[in-house]
Amino acid sequence: MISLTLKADPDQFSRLDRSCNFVGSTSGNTVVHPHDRQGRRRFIRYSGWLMAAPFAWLAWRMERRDRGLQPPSRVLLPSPAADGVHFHGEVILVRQGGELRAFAARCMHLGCLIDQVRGEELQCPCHGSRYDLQGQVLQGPASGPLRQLELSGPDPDGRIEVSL
Amino acid sequence: MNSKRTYMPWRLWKETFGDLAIASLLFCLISGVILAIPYDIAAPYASLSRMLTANPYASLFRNLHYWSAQTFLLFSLLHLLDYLRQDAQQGLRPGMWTWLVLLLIPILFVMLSGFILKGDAESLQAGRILRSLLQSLPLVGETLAQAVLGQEENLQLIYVHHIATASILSVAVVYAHIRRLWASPRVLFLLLVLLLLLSLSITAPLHLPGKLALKGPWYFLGLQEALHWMARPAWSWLVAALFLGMLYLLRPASRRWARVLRAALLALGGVYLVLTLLGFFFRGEAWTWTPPWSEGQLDRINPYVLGPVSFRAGTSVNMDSLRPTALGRAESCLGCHRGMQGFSPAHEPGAIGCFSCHLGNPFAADKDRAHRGMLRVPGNLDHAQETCGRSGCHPEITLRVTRSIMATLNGMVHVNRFAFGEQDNPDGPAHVKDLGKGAADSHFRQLCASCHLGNPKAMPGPTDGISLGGGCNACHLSYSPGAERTFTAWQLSDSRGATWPRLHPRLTVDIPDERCFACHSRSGRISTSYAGWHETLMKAHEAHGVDSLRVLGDRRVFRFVASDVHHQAGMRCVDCHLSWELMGDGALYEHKEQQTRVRCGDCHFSGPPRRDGAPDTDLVRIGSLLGFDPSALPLLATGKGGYGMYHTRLMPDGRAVLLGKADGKPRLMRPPGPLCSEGTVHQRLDCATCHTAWAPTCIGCHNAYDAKLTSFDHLEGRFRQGGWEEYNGDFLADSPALGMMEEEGRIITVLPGMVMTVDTASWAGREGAPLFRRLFAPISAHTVQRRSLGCHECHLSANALGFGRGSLSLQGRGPEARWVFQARYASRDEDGLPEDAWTSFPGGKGGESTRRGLRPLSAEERRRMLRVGACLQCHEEGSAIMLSSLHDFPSLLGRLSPRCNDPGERGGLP
Ligand code: FES
Repeated sequence: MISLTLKADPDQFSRLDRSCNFVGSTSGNTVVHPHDRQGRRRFIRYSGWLMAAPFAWLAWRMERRDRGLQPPSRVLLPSPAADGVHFHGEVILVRQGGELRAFAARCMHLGCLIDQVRGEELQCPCHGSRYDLQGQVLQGPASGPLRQLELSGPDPDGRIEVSL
Repeated sequence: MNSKRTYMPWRLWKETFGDLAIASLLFCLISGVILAIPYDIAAPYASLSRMLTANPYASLFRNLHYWSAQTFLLFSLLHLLDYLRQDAQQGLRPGMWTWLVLLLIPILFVMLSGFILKGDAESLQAGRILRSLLQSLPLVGETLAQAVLGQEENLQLIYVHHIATASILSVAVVYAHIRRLWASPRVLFLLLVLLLLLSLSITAPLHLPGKLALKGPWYFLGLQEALHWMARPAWSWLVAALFLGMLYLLRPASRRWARVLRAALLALGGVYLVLTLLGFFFRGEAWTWTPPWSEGQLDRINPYVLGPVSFRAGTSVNMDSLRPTALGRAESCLGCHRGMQGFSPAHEPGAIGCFSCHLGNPFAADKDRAHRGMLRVPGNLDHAQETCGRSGCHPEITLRVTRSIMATLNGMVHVNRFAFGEQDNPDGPAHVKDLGKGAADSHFRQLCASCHLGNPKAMPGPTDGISLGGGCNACHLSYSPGAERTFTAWQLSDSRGATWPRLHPRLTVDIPDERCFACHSRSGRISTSYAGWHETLMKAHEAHGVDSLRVLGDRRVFRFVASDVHHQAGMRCVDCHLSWELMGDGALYEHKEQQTRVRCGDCHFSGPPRRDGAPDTDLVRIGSLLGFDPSALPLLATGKGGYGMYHTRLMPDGRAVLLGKADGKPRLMRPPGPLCSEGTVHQRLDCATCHTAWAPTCIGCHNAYDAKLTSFDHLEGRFRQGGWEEYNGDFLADSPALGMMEEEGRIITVLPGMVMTVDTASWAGREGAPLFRRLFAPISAHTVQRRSLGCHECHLSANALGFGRGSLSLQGRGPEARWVFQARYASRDEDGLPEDAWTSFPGGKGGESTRRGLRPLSAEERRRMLRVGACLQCHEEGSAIMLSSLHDFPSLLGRLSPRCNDPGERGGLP
């Protein structure tokens, strides 16, 4: 009969585990062969993961579904009367020579909200990307142009509708 | 066992990094739980600003939470370094080492999520970056981003992970690592003292609204700098994975490999440290390279507010200061400045707070810190981007104004240089701020540079006839009588001890004429002329008690001549002039008339009116603020630019009215008279050519430089040795001359703008004849009279034709008849022309002007005018024959009676 009690600190425990590969514990009077014990543990661990898998799948579906339930957003903005850059949160309106363009205000590098213009350049405050008023990158790190948004209007109240 | 331990300070520290980390974690957990009481996840920024401004106890707990988190991270990293130095990881179970390496992730997440939960501008950007980084992971990216961060711009899930998921994970792993969550009392005590000292003297960061430099927390600045160089930010995951991988491999690796890995980790850490230092010290607004020694950079990079937590702040709290503004923050200003009144609704403290205009520190709870960096007089153009022009307020308008002619003075700068002979034409891009130190520019700095919108107003108080500049407030700040009274009382009380005036001046779009007066009572003097006042050369004391004389604040004396008909009708400057021409449209213009939009014919039209579907959004906004209904159509539109004039109405019977912007009173807009619209002969004439009653006219000026004089440089705001002096000759209120603006083919009114000598030799410090210039300038005199000039006032006027004042008569009869001119003013030696002439009689000399393409009437145009003038010698102006001449003058010439004295086509003229 082997009865082994380990009360050492965890690190000692682990060292023993590593050196002897012989781990056991008292469990009443029953003696369990260490190999059986390890096998059972492994079984429990794997079946635990297996049981978690369907839930993970369900959670993944839930998240996908939730994301799909976000309605597409549109915003109504005052139509700018002057040439220049107009920031409206998620939308940047640029009017040049009477022509109006709308861009998503998210920097194409890492999605920071762009809300600064210096001269004829839109500046991202986070890592310094710069875009011209056509949305093209003048200076990285961003590598792609700003996303141009569809717009319609103006309506009789002088507002334009932008789809985000 | 030897119970007596040797005292070894370095060993003590070595042993306690882990302990200190545990103690920090404990304090962080406890202070976090307490901080959750005043923290509001629905309005994080507002709740934090409320703590800072009015609840020093909450602020202290926030500081404790912040500093304990920083020490936790710092001591954990030092503990790790210590492990690596001693190779201590070899003593750990393999599973435990894996967990500890992975623990770095929740630790960094819990730190970063704490940063994001501030809810200020840089936190929100950090959240967006984290989302994008997570999304960039292949396959699981989107789901992971959603699972970690939840809905866009919503902090709820991050909060849950901050207080629960990541915290529990961290605590669990730490517990599994050392089987306790407690540190020795000595370590706890030492750390508590350190944290209290830090928390009481350095306030945890909260991003100030106007600060354009957005930076992450200090431990991520290296990453932010690295990302600046990475077009594919997803690679940063590889670097992170590499780091964690190498760390993990340290344990199973052989000794030799472990050494290599340690060196690599150290090198990686070193690079990260350098990147962090670069990011912290050398990056400014929009992550631009800004060395720490450049102006303002130290302020920009320091996220902390130094100074003790003030527990007195709680005593001066009032409810106003606790209510968050519409911008989502509470401001401490109203703790002291309670009960302020007088604002327009859009500028109420409840809407935009005080900081939006006055800057300072809205989260500081004591006066000195709150007032550091404060602007007593906001609106000046050098700060306009941080105040009126801040994002969300009026950024586009500010940009327009800074480029507008009233801010650049472009035309004036060039015309002055041209007059001084320093450039060969009056055009080009220029800005008053960029004036040099040459003769012309020094003259401008001293005599002209005070009148521009960029001239900063330094002292608060009402703008009067002599206060110039002030940016946006030059026009938009209005003191009610009450506000002016309380301000004066406060000022008289030596501004000390007395209560701050409770009545704030109002920001308004209702602009009285006085706002324009300060600058426009000079140079072209359109403000004074509009009200009927003409400047004289009299001294102020001579005007005492004379009703027809008026002394301005700057002691100049004006004589009443006749006011503009629109002034008589009670119209203000802004009843004609629209925002687009006053504040510009964003384009840079060379001369003021290019920026001007409104023409007389927009209101006084014959034929079908020019209408627009609707006014643009800018005008709708201004119109609504002034109480106009923007949907009341149809409206008139300007011919130039097609701007809908919201204060005009077109009536069903075809007539049009203008509603006063101040009084709302309708004024019928009359069509032009028959002389203007009948026939085609007068179509090229500007309305002003016939309807200008008078224009202020200077004759015989001289500018000399005196090195002994002390002058004031308005641009630099300081006195200088040496200065220019202006000497005036005659000052007349007389009819202007006529000139042809070639490009537009229009005949306009002109004045002897610069018939003068400029003593450039004295400037250069040498002997020599002064430079003589004879330049005429376009003028819109703003002295419109309803009655038009008589026909002979142009057709028989030597002045109108550009020869100067004097008598012009036809001598002799028939083909032998000759026009003869007798000048009133003597001829100048320099060019042989009379003082006030633009061109010589009968023609040939002179004719320079301050505009490209502006010339005197040509010989043929003059001949044609004088041929009509010859008829006017006998025929009455309103006679049937003269009226018929409007339609077909050539056929009249074919029916001349023998008694007519027609000088023929030339009349002795070239
Ligand atoms: S997010 Fe714009 S530059 Fe990085």
